[in-house]
Amino acid sequence: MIIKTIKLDPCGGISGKEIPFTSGINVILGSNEAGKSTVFNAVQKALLVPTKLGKKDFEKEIKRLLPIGGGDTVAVEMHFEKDGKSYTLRKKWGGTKLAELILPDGSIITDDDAVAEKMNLLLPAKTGTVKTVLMTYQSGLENTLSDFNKEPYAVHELGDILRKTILETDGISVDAFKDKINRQYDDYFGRWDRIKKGPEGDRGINNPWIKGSGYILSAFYEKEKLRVYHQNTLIYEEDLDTLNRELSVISQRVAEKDIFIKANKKVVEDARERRVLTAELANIQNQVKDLKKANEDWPVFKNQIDTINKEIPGLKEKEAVLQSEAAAAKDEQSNKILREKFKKANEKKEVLSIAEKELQQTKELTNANLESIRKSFSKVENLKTSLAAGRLVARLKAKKDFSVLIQKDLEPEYQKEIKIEDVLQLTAGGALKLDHADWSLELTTGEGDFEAIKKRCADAKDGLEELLKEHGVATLEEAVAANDKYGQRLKEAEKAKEVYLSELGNETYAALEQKIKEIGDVKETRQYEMVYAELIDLRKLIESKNTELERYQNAIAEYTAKYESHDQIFMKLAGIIGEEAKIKEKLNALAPLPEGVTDYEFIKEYEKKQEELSADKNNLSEIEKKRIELTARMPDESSEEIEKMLKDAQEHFDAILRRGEAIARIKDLTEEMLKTMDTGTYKGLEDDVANYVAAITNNKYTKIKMEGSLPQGFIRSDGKTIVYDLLSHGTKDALCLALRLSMAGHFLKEAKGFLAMDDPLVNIDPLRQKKAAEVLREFAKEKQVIIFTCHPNHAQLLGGNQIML
Amino acid sequence: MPLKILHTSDVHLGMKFASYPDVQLKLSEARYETLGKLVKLANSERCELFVIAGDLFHLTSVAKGQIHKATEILKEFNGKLIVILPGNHDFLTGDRADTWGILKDKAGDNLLLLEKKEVYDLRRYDLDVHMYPAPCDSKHSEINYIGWIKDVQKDNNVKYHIGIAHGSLEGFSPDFDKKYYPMSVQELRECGIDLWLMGHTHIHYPEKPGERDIIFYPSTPEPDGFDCVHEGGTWIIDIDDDKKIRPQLRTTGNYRFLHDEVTVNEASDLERLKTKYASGYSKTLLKLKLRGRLPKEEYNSLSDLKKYLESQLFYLQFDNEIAEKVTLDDINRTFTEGSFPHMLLTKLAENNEIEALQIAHDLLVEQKQ
Repeated sequence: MIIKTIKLDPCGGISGKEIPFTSGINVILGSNEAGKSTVFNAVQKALLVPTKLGKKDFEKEIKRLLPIGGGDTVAVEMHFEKDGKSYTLRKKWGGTKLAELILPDGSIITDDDAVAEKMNLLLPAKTGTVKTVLMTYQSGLENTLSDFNKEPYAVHELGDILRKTILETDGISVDAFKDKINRQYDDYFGRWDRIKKGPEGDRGINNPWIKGSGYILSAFYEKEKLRVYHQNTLIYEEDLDTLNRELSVISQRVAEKDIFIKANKKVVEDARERRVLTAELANIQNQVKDLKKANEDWPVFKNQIDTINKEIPGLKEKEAVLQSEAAAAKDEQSNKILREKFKKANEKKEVLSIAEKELQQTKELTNANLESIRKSFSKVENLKTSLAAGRLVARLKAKKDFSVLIQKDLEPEYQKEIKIEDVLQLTAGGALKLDHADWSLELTTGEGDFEAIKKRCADAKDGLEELLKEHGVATLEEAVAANDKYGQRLKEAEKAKEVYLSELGNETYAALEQKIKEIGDVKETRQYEMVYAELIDLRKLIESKNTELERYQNAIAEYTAKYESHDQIFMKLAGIIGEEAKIKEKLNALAPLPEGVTDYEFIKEYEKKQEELSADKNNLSEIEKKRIELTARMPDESSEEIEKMLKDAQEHFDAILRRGEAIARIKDLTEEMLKTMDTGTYKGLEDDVANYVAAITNNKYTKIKMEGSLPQGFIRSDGKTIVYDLLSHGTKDALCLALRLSMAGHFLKEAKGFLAMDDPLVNIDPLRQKKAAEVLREFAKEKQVIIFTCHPNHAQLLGGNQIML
Repeated sequence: MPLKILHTSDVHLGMKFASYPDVQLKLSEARYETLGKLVKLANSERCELFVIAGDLFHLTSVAKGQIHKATEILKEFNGKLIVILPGNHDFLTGDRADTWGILKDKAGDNLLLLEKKEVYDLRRYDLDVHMYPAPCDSKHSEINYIGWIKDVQKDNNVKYHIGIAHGSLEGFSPDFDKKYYPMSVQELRECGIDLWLMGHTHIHYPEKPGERDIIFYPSTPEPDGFDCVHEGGTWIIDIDDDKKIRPQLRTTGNYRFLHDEVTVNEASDLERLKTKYASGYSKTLLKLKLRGRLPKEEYNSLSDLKKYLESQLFYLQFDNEIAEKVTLDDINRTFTEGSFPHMLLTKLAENNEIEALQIAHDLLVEQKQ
């Protein structure tokens, strides 16, 4: 887009003036207050500001451009070219509004929005960029750069400057924005755990955060308070319902029982009286019955007494006879036993006598005797054994026949005939004796004193034989048999004696025999048991007669005590029958009972109901107390109302949370964007800035030092790298112009476009102004440049289309 | 002899309206005014029977002064009898000192409290009616109390058999947990009653009465919240000798609660809103929810709209969800490409994160200014 003309008719202090522009450099020269800013604004408003404005926007954008001489309308007309085609843009603001864009083919757009839409397509960059980069009349760019100068002690690298220049082109401090969004984040999320979606540390409404809670937590607590309030109210209502239901049920019971109690008061009183009267009546009827019975009994009992009194003496006599017979029968029964005992004693005595006789006839060989014999026998045997314990073997070979007497140990001697060539082999224990008519040979072992043993053996043998002889036996076996027999006889005699003495018991035979003599002969009697049974029966009969007699006598005594005499009974009977009639009359007058129940049952039921009524009334009173206590805590609103409040609080919380999350999103996105900002974005810019700076400083600074993707500073012609803060003011201004041109080039790219700016040479030292002007002229070969200045020498340096205001 | 009835319910005298602190006293008082209006309407319509089918009071325990005030209003009824059924808010507690105990002491002879589940013979009030009530004795009940009516032998010597109950009606009332004495049309019809005068649900039933309809809910006569957007109403019911029922719905409310949800995208939408509520809404409580996106200037004028509406309405609950209309064009127009604000807002706009976009935009513009 190339601006061909701008006509202000009127605009501020200018009216009816058309300014022509060329495609190269255009210098608008005018003293202060000559209208440079009016022209700048006319161009800017024509391109960027719609004609339909609200009051505030009108005041901000247009009001100061209203005609100085009066009038309510600002009018601007602009001719421009785009891609070689001509457009006419007319705009009026204020009293008369007009937006008109005449297209190259002559067609006209008059709708303000449509004009703006079309202009967006025709402008060389987005409107914001046009405003802040391409039309830098007292622009934000200068503010940004001047910010660096306000911080003399901060060390800024060129990367920071470029980055900040781009990011904050609009004059908005990123750091200030970050601070602001962080504060807002804290305001919303104070003490709120975004991950758990609840209060930090799970501190709910029962233990709330007091300090540092944000809007979200406050709204959450507000909602939770209502939720708890709602729950408590529901519980309250449920509790109240429960109590009321109980009250209703019990009240109903009380009412029913009250009705019953009241309705049956007379019935139950009559029932109680009926019970008393019925008892009295029964008593009277019993008395009548007793009187009648006494009347009947009296003569009968009298008669019975007489009869029994006559029977008893005869029965007593009979008892005495039977008693004597019983005594005799009992004695005879004892005598019979004594006789039997005496008979058995005699039998046992006979057996004892025989046994003692047989014992006397048996050889006495006691166990002690037998033991002596056994010991003597053992002694002999032992000696024999010791003699036989040696070992002698003799071998004789006969060379002629001979006879020899042989004795081995203590064995008897025997004669042995031996033939020629016979071999005689003899074996003995301790001694072997051969006695031949011609010789005698005696062999003994070398151990012990054979002769001494032999002698002891002979002595022992003699002792044994003497002992056997003493007891009349020949051998040990006989002695054993004799001992057995003697022992048997002795036992039999002792047993017979024991049986005999047992039969006698404590008595002696003589005493027993004396008693037998005394009782004399057997007498003839009935069996004692039979007689005794008869006696017992008789006694029972007598006793029953006596009892019967006593009963009749007592009855008569009782009747007499009660009625005085038999005649008095008639008198009493007449009186009591009258009483009976009166009670019956009273009973008939009483209220009847319901059917099917007795007085007792009805009274019990009535009393039970009275007790239940009393319990129910107490219960009722307790529940009413509970209800009073409960209703003292009655919530101000019903659960339905609180539910509505809770719904509103929930909506409020949701809205606050939603807004908080939106703020969190902005915060996160801001941090993410700043962290991942690609500094490669500045690559083209670095080269342009370096070239422009080199050109303006006459190659004093030729390059920009990069570290990674970040520019670090300028490399001076002497090879040193100078960071921004160490640059001179003039060089910084040169950098400022270089940045303007670089950014304009960056946004315009290959497109035809314009760059409007106030005098860029003002702060550049005179030596570099020429170079700067050359750079601008060079830039204007590709892009339209419009410069506003009040310095004629600057205008002269710049050249191009000179416009005087 | 025909019978004319004013049938109301759910007056909720004593309701406190804590959610509306600025106007709660007026809203509470309005319920008494409406009761007076009902009495006047019944008198002008020459109704013989004035029926309150539950929840005359909002609570079981109402200040004596308020009960006295209610009875004084009801005493103005010129017809033969007022019958009152305890509802689930003013249910029977059995306490002599509760609302009903006090009301009975103060009421005149032409007021009958239907406390028992038994037939009330209204012939002693010169009304040829047997009335069959189902009084509530708790706030909640999973069973209804009309069961006894079906089994009662109806007296053929009495002309009109009228049931009166308070609770939810299946298919009509919102009672998802079935805890408000739930009833069904079939159950009610099986009771052998000529006319059912109901209460509890705050909207009228049937919506368009037909000839065979015998079950009626009058709604609340005075709306009580933003979930009750009608004008408040009552039935005037004529029942003729042939038991033909002719109901007429009359509006009765003092205040009206309205919801309005408007999508606003341009200044004309705001103007339309102003025009809409320019007059006739001085007794309206409006819950206004605004959605949409507005250009900056119109967006800034929303506070003016709010002030204007507040001046025209009795009460305004202003729920503003409008976002300032921030488009890519707006961003391009306001911020330089490559600048931080431009990048941030462009990203949010491209992601259609409307709320975040609006907040970021507001903050950035504020900072720029």
